[in-house]
Amino acid sequence: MRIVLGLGLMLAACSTNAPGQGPNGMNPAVPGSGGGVSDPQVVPNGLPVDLVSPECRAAGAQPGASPIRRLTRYEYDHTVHDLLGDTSQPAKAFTDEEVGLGYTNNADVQTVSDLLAEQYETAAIALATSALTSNRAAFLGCDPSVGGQDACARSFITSFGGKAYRRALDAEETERLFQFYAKSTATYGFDTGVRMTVEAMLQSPHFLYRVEPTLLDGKVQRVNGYAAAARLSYLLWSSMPDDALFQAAQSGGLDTAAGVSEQAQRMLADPKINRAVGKFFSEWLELDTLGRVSRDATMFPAFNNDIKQLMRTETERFTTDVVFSGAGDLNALLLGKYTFMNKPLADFYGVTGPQGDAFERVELDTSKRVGLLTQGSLMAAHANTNQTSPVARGYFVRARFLCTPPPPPPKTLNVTPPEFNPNVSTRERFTLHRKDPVCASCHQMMDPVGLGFENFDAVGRYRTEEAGKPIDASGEFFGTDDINGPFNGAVEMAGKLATSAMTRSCLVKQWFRYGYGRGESEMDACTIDALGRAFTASNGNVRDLLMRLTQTDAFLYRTNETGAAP
Amino acid sequence: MMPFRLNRRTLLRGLGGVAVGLPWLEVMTPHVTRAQAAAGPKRLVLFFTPNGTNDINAFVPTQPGRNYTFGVETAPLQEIRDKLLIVSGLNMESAKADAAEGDLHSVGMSHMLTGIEWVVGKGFDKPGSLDVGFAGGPSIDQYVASKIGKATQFSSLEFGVESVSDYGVHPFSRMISAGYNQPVPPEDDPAAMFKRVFGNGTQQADQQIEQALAQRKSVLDFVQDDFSRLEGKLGAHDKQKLEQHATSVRDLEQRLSRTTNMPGCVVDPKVLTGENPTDKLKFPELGRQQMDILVLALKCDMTRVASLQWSWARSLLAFPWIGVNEGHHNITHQDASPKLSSINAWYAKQLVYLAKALDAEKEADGKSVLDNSVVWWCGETARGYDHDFNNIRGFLVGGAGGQLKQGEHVVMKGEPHNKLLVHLMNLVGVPGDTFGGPFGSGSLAGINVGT
Repeated sequence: MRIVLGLGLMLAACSTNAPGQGPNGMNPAVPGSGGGVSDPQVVPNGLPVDLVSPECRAAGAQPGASPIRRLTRYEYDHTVHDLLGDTSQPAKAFTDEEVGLGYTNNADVQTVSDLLAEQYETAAIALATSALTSNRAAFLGCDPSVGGQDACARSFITSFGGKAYRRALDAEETERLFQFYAKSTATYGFDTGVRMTVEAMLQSPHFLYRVEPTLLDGKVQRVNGYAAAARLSYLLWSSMPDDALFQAAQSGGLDTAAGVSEQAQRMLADPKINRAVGKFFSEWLELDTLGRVSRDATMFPAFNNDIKQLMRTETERFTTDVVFSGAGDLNALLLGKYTFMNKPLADFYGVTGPQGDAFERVELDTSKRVGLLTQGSLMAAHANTNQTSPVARGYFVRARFLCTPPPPPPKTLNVTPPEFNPNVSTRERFTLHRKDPVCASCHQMMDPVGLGFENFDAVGRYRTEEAGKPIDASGEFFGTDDINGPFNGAVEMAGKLATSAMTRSCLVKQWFRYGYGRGESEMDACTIDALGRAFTASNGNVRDLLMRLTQTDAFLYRTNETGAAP
Repeated sequence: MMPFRLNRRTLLRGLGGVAVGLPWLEVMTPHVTRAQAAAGPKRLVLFFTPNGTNDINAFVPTQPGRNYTFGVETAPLQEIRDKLLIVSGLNMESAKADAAEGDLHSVGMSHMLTGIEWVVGKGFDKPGSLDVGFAGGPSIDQYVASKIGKATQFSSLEFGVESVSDYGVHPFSRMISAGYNQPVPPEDDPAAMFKRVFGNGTQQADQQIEQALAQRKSVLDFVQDDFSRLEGKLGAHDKQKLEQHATSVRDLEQRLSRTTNMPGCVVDPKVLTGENPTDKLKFPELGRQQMDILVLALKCDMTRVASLQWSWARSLLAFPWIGVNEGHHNITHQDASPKLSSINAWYAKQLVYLAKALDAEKEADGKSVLDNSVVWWCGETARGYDHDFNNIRGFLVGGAGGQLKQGEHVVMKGEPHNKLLVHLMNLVGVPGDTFGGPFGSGSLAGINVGT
């Protein structure tokens, strides 16, 4: 049976799997590998029974692909911080990640080049050297002069190795590491032997990748406790598990969805949650793009790196505030009536507000600005060097808020945007996109959305006229499920987006892609469906969504894709 | 830092060794082997600039033969005319075959050096989205490096000048590829590149050097064993991913056993001028540094395969230092634009700088490094405004050791650019009749001396 879910764009295949694909042929309504699941009200995807479609309830666990994931630079730096107390952020020197679906953690495009392998080695040497010289006793956790070098090394390998590999080491690999230490120590002495062992561990695939034990026959299985701990910690903290998570993994506390949920709740209350949530917003909203764009300095002399950084801070402060201090929901992100500024940023925007360098909450004039979309960071990141870009802004909304990016122009088309002319408004310059039927078919998806932002110039300042004429910020949505029709200005646009099921569904997909490091597939239809239902039921609450992300088939189960290597 | 001579102890530092400052111990004497005296090594250099031209006649001469006149966008090349071979009339057929499926700058980028169908559906929305597809096979330089690279410290070196796009690393930021869906990043930071290739001149005692090398090899050996033990426990795709990583670790270990072919080669860190590698206003200075390092790396035979990627395909860079304040890509989508001509002429001047710097370095065989090299000025599209893949850029500088005609413009009749890729690899001594996808075989006729 195929069921249609979400946007009507994804054909789900919830019950096309052969019987017995559920774990051990168990009733899929009772997740968990060990018996004794005590919460019959919770079905796969962690939802109350009435929120899961009957098709999905009947289908059994469908985790989708579980590609091996390598630590991103961001995760690497947080991991060595939590593992070694190292604050040098060595991964900042690593080569930039390839971006897939807008996220730097997309497993499908992660590759290791000779350059990166070399950078891993350089970092491992520096980290190991520093760890042994800065606080040797604490790092080793034992005194080799008291109980003997080899005994100390064994205990160090077990404890440090367990943290670095994020699981208990088995006897064979403990012995291998010990033999490596012993051989190295025999030649170079104890400290060097330990250092080399640490270097080896920091370059091991067990450290650099999140290795999960897998069945090679393609059967669906529960992820084991340690893998679940790492899934939790990298999803919610962008880093390795803490002691409590390791403890839970070891004691079977993560073998049930309820146990995972309990840890997730604890983790959501930890300040480290800001790392992951901040990274999500940064990548969803393409804040790094803001840092890279430039403007014609003769036209926008005040738009410099300092202002770009302040704009970024504004968005970071706002999103953090909404999610953790405020209503926490999508409506508040889109329609919040406040923001954060300091004096230099307020001066740049031309509003009165804070009098110092510290960021303060500022109430918005909601006839002009509201929520995320009208913040300088988003407006400035999506504009041309010398003028606004209704196309880029419209594309941004379609791609990141509605998850329906229009295709690029056809090959045969001479795509020649209008030349900048200070005497003609942007709206007038772009009329051809809507007159020529070949252009219009795609551009009506973008331009009329982007034109709704015309009150914001190419660097995100509010304006009421251009080329001596009043701004016309009327816009229109075409080709949506539920918000087609005209609006006037960005504030009204945000209001329409806030009512759309497409926006909610899109934010769920964005979190899926970021949270699981991959694009959704047909096999994920029930996970997406369940997350969407939960998100709607919570009135679009982001904290709730984070918790739900730990309760899906995609999170709790894994399957090994068995397709032949290309 | 003073200029220093290359030897094992300086190089070790560059490879991330443990720095121990010791007094300058000895200066090794340059020695020249008989083979080098007979003929300098052949080298392949790729020189990429983005976004094409809007007027082919402003870029490519209209007259064939020796008595051609440069168009306005390539006029600076007059200075190196007698080292230049212009090959026009080549079509990027493989890109045309794929072109319906995505952003055309990305299409060009993934095809330009590979000539093969790109990757669809790995990490991207769907065919048709802006950023589908890293390359589907090895780029010509990486293929060549896999064949001749073991002769030098680095099998290849990838230089970039602000190569990360405004949107991060997308297919339009990556032209070098190690294989299917394996984009290779260039190093954008000249200081990091210099240190990687040459070290920083710190001296260490022989014993310490050998010890540090032995330790590193021992660690890398253990790590490789870790990889191979794990691979059997993974599914096919994960296994393939880890195999690629393990290959890089193995290559690194092997590199530690190689010594430089040119001990005593003097490098001068003053080529580094300390700019932030992402500062857009320092683009010219960053490029100049990368070119200087590239020249040193070839001169000292640290590698025989190098690439220099200026910005990224579809680049939005402005060029205020030549009075162009508008973004490059936007300009290509304006009709005949003097601003675009200025940008292309500026890039032509950079090619002249590189060529002259390579020509100033003389080798044991009496030729210059340039004479023994072939530098291809390549681009992801021929014409920017409609992303045309016909008549792509084919400017070849140097003669690859006297093999190529120079001072001439040879016109092809729509041959697939795969033939140019074959030709390039043959020029540097890598045999073969085909490269990339099924778009013709053989090399190009009529561009070698005596043909």
